[in-house]
Amino acid sequence: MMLQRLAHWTWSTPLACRAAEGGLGNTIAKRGAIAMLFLGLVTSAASAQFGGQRLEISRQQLVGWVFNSHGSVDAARKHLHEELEGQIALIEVIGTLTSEQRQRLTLAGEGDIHRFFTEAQRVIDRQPVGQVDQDQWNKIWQRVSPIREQFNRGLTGENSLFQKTIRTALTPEQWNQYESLMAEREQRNYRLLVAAAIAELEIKVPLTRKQRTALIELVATQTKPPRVRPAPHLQYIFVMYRMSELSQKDLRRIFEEPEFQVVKQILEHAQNFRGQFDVEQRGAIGGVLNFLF
Amino acid sequence: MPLLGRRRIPLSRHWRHAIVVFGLVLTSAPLSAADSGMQGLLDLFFGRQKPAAQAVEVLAPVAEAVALELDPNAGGEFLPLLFKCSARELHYLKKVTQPDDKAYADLKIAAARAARDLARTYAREKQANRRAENWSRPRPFITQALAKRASELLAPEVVAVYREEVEAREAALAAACQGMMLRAIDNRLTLLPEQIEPTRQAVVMHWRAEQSTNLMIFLYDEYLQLPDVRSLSKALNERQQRLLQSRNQGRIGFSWEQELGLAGRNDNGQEIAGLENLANVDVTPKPVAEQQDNVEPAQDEIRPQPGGPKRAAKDVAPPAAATEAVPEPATKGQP
Repeated sequence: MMLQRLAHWTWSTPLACRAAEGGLGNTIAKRGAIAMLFLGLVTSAASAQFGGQRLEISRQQLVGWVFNSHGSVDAARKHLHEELEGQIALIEVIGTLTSEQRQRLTLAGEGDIHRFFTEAQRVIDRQPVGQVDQDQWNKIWQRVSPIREQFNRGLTGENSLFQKTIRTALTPEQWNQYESLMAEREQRNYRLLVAAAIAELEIKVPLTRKQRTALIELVATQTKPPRVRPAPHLQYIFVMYRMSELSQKDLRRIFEEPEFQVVKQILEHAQNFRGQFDVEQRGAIGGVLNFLF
Repeated sequence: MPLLGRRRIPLSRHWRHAIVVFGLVLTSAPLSAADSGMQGLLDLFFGRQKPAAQAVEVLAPVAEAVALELDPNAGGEFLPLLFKCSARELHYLKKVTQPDDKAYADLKIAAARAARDLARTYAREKQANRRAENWSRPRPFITQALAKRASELLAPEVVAVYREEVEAREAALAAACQGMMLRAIDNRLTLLPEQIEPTRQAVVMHWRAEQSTNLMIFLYDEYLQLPDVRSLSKALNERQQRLLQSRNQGRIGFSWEQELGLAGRNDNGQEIAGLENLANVDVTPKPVAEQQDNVEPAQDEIRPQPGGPKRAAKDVAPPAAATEAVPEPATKGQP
């Protein structure tokens, strides 16, 4: 249909009319002219859709985007090494590590860093540089984003070689101490998240001091922190999801009935994310099983 | 001239060249097609609407822009959400103070007026091209306006309880935001247990009230503007200070509703049952005679209510109070 309209329009242009008068008729030349016109229009339309914008991208810029404003791979590598030192310093809170233990942990952490940079370099090198259009830019962004996120999260998290090595490098006694240290940290940070999630809930349902104190206490003590940190935008929802696992009787005690009805809706909404949160938790368990067996 | 067959094309050389050149020009698809004469053809073919000419926006200096006259309906886009926010605050006030019907009706007007005043203020902020994260915080403004009106209508001890609750809520919000900041610092720098409390204290010491507005911003660690390294230098070791300085992603932007703490992730459209629709509340000042007709009989009816909110005749707002403008919210960054 579009083609017919195009042909009709082409035919009706003065140029085509003149050509027809001149005997062009159905010749290949006429078809060629139409085809050229059509091609030109389509291609022009495509570029007009992007508003004619093209971005100039250099390899250096890509590195900056991926490594969070660190201007070079070396600077980013140094940053990750300092983060690794911080992780080892935290482990040393449980007591001084032997030089062998320290070496094993450092090697494991460096292994994670090496693996990360090998992958990051591979992805960066594959991206086109120079002038790219909107579509290309979107694709580049999609490809480099996971690396960028991983860099921001740090490399010593769940399933890292570093985490696996802690278990084997520490003595059983040290491991127990380390676990309780981590649990304490996790619980402290979870409590902070709970307080913020409830402050967010108060946008909808303003609470009195008594209600607030009771709710924070209930959620922080009766629910568990995530084994794997949820995606940033889902963190408050995760707390609501955990809240939804509490008994309604306990929650009803805190809220007035009209308030509870709103809270109930919010908790039901949070349950829609069950699949996502469960997958994350299963991923953590899977990592442990993978390590054990 | 024979061309791919028996027929001859009786076109002059000029025409043949013109067709070829025209075709080549078109197929080369110049990137600036949107700005070329081709745009007309494209619009004709693909129904692409030519964008209307954009109004040239002149960025006036803030002080001058704020001083510009506002359209009478300016700020209308902010009203729906501000009415909701104000209605929630009215609900909160009612929950804490339990005013009688007469006082509640007056407070409802104050809530509606606060929302409208705030909308006008935001219209000015917008006109001055100020970013939403720098606009006045809505909740403190509304609660302040409500407390002021309540102090004219309710017993002082009841208003004091309301003020305390509001302050406690603001303090809890600030503590929650500070806690999220501490959590982000810990995530990035791996704080040692003995560093937690000194870091928290340093965060609290350098906290600004406007930081306790948008809770969304604390979800994204990498975009969160952490405190200046100097403010944390006593709590952090050198390695951590280097790490703190090594990243600066810039601030992530949110919609004005989220920047002002009016909407969060939990906003599924549900509201507490019985929340007032303040859009329908008439806030226009009434003639003095009419006000007296309304107020005088009410004064006779007012009786102190033991153990509950009370409104003495002397506490009733004078007629002029109905027309009194809610105090203009302080605009950050402006004298």
